[in-house]
Amino acid sequence: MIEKFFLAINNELHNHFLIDKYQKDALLMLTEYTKNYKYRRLAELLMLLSNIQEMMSTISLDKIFFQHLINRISMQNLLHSIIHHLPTYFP
Amino acid sequence: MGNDLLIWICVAFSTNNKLFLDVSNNERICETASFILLESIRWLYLVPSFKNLNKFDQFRLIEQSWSILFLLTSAEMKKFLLPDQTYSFDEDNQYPLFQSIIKDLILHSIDQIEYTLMKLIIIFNTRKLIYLLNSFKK
Repeated sequence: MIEKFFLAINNELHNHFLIDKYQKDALLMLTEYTKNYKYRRLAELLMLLSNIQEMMSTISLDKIFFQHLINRISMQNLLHSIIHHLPTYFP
Repeated sequence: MGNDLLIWICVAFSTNNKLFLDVSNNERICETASFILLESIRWLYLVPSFKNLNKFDQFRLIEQSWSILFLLTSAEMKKFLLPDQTYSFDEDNQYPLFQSIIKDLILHSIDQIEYTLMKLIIIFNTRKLIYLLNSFKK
């Protein structure tokens, strides 16, 4: 299973259909939740997220916060290590 | 090596709320960052729709969205808000910009449910949100 991570050459996700479905479900739930606000709140939050996405593309969080770790391990491997060991430390 | 780092992060996670006074500002920020990163990913594994995905897709989704997930979790937990924090690791002076985004999020008075749903949209959205917003407007 671990080898699968490293053997994958392309960046395509396997479950595009499922991922789209979950994203649409979350959007629908957010719409339902903010129904009383009509669509104003939803539009406000989506716009905020969109702006954040743009701004975050200019910020390297790994360099700001994890520079001391990245000297020893790549961010990708750090994330992989956390995912792999998470059940051990927080069952 | 990966194990050592993870243990370091877990120690930071467990001691985050009882930091010692003699810990330097840099260490404090790094510990908080490790805490937030671990907490973000830990939260994700409580989401059944995420847990049901195969390991490869889980990793790909985390890899592409961890930074915004980190930001949203930081804002939700109201971290990195202290003013006048100098931070020597921040060579490109990006930390104040990061702080300003967190403050902007807090100004919108986002509740816990909204944070949860926003994080899910970020995780499961594989495109730029501006396209999602445009399709919603139509």
